[in-house]
Amino acid sequence: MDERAVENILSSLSDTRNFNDPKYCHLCLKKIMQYSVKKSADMSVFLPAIVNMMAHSDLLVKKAACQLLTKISGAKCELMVLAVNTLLKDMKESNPVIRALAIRTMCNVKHEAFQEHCISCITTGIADNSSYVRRAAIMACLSVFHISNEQGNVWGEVENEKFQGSGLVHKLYEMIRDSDPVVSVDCLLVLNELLRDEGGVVLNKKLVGYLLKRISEYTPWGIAYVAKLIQKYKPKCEDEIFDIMNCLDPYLDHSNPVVCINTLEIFIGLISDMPHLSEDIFMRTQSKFLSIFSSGNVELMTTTLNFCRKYPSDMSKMLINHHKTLFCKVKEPSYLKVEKLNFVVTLVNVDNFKDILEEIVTNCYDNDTDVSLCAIQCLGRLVRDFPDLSDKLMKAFNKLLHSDKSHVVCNTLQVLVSLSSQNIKCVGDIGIRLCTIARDQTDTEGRTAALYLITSLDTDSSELLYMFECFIEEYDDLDSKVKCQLLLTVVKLFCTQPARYQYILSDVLDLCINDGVDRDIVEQAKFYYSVLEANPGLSQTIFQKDGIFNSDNS
Amino acid sequence: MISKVGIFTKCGEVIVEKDFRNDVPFDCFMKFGDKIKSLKGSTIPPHYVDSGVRYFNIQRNDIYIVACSMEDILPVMVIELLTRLYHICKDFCGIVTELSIKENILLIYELLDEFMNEGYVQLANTEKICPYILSTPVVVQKERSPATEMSSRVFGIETKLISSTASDKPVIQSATDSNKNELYVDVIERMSAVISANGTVSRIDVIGSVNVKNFLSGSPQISIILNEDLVVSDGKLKGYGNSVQLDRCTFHTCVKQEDFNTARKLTLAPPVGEISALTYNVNGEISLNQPFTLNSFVGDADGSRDLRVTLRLNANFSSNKRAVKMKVKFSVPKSISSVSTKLMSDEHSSTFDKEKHYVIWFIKQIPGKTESMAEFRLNNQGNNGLTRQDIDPISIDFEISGYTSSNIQVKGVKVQSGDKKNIKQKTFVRLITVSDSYVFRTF
Repeated sequence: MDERAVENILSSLSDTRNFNDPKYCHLCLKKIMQYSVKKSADMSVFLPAIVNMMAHSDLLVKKAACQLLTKISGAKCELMVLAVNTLLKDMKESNPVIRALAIRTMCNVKHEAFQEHCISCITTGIADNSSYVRRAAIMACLSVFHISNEQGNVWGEVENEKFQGSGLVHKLYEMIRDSDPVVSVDCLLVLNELLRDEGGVVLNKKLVGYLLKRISEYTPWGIAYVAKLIQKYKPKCEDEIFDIMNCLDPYLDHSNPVVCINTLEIFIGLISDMPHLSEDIFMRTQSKFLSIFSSGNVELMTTTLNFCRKYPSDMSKMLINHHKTLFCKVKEPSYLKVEKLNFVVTLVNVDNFKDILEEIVTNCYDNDTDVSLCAIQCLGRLVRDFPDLSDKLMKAFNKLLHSDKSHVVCNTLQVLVSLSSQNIKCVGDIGIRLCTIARDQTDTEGRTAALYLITSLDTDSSELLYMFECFIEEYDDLDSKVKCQLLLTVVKLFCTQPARYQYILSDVLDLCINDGVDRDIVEQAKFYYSVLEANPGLSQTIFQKDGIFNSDNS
Repeated sequence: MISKVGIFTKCGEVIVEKDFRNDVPFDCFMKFGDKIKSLKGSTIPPHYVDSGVRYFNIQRNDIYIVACSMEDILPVMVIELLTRLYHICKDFCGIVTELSIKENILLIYELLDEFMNEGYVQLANTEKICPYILSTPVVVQKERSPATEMSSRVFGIETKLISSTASDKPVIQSATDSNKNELYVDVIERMSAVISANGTVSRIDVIGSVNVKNFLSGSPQISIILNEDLVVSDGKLKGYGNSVQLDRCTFHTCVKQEDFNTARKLTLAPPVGEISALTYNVNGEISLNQPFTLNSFVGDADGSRDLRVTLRLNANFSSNKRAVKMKVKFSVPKSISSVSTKLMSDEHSSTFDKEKHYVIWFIKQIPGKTESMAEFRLNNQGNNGLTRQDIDPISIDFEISGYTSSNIQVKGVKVQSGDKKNIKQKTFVRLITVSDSYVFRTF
């Protein structure tokens, strides 16, 4: 929609025939709505038309106009007063939907003319017969509260005083016992936010008892919110703890996962002194978690797995026999595969070791770099967690290094670097392969890792010398990280076999010291040189393969 | 609590934007839009934090539904909330796509107003929101080829074809088709399997659900009768035989479980809109039928370094059904420069993606009890010979209507309405099996 179209809409709406046709108004409002989300949209041109439409006899037109009014802020004009008058008139309408709409709009528009009427609207609203209007009025308290607390707001202070003096907080406490369940929950939520500085809504034994008695009336979301609030409450005696648990037990496997998780967390808080119960409680929620994991809702699965990390040992105990539910599927997005792999690896035991290992190894070759890296890291984790099997597991790394997918090779090297040199020796004869990788890899991380690994292997093939020659030739094009590692690798190798690497070292040092781009490299090269020159014997101990730089706990 | 909710197209354009609390930076939606634009094939995680703003999103069809918050809230909650919102939109608009959102924008804003206030959920139930909604939905039809139309059985006797998108319609109906008094029962099974080269099943499972889409007037009670021989084993050992054996069942809250336990039927008074009355899991080859078997033959081509791959795909389901949208995909080594193919008919086609190194064999449809074959010659530029390990794994995609792998059937649907006998109810039952992750290993 361009400027011409805007003008067209405005001029056509000024015609009363069009204006009185609700269908036509709907169409125009639809266009304006679609226009309003554009970045450059200037909505103030529509203000006169919108204010007119707020008084339209068609309710949908009125609704949409009110909606649009909240999107126009800071307009200073007479029209706003007109809009306020319309809303005040609407407050007296017989239709509760219109009354609620008036309250919502009145409190949501950031304009002086509106704000002076907010408190009186709310006070009338919360005494309304219709629960729909009461709900709107209660929630409107929040917007008034936030506006009045805004820094630098001229009317803020006046409003704030008015708000404090209105006794709304007290009224809201009373209305927790409202006959409408949604109103009741809304009161709690609003109070909790209004009183945030004082630690939120005050929950005593009586109130918690009341909420638990009523909990079955609440909507699922209401239960979820209430459960979240109850998490704060600390019962005094054991009887009370068991009362609460009895009341809430049915919600541990509620169909809404949020209810289920919030209830679970209440239980976890309650039984902090009775750890023997925790397994039973987690088992109660098992079916819910399993149904989430087989729901096919990828976002929900990911966030749920993320939640599971909060209680690693309990969660893995609960799901240990259901590891297959958590295996990756081809079509799943990479973030979910990563979460799944990270969780599945915590489930490993003697019975399922083979299944899980197969799953991990399959995913090592995934086309997505993140998934592949994660799977290889899991493999690395298994190597560390199961030292007696590590020799066999390391063989898998050998195979990974020979993959023709360059990201797999690169990821494998990164994981190998994090493993102990003891483990790396078990990979088998990979020296030549490493040389080829270091030469051909384009990825900086992969190259550095390969160069690093070369020092921890007993390789003395001509391949190695050839590789260094290649590096020397293309020295200027190398990334500074690679240069750094190249220098260190050559120094280390020189210390083990001085005769063999003498020429290579002199070439590399020469290049590094004369590096025109990177000062760090120059400094480092000079430093190595002076160490080697000052005390050849000592430098050998420093740089040697099993020296301090390369020990397992470095 | 939630500060802002919006809907984005997959190009990163905002189509709906609703601020509930005005406390997030004004540019946070722009940032999210830029993030979508810079994707290039990867995916946005459902939850992340960027300069203090918490972003949550779900991706459905061709849109993203996004929420922002300044507070540390449980991600599961926001995701569930957005999912709920999606379902409500779906109930009201029929389908949720970029086009339908744009067409129904007034309706969407109305829904958002009822759904949430000040960032807290108010009403999250189609039935409860319904009275407050004034807009009439604009129905946008999804385009689909006639091949995907599914056969349905009306009252189990006559056979009548209706379009598969027939149930994609809003719960509020316009005056012209207010006499539509329909009920759809869909059994959808999503299969995943890993099958080794010698044909043994190393893993096979199905996630199934019985979805009820209710457009009946007067909220009557309905019962869905399932197979009599259905067994819920729940961890116990399974027996061989033709009976349907489910592992785990989860019911919607409105389903009377006693009737299921005694008579194998689902009795429920469904709310208006779509619910999944029953979700179940089935594991293992004892209780599941494999719809397809795939044999792969890999060999050298005439002494050259090229690789010859022959795939034979057998459809094992009965001959009156057919699978559509078949895709067979395998990856190839980097050294493959081109692929030549020999396919059976026009219904088959294939592509080779040189950048991502894979080959896909497309088949429009496969009738049951038939074999399809394709030959590929992979032109190898590398020095090394190739083996069958290099094309591992082969994954297939399919959609079969009228078929369930677990053999679960809907034997009948009864609607018990007290009043309005003159309005005829129509019930439609559909069975669909789709692949979730169906993989054949080649070694």
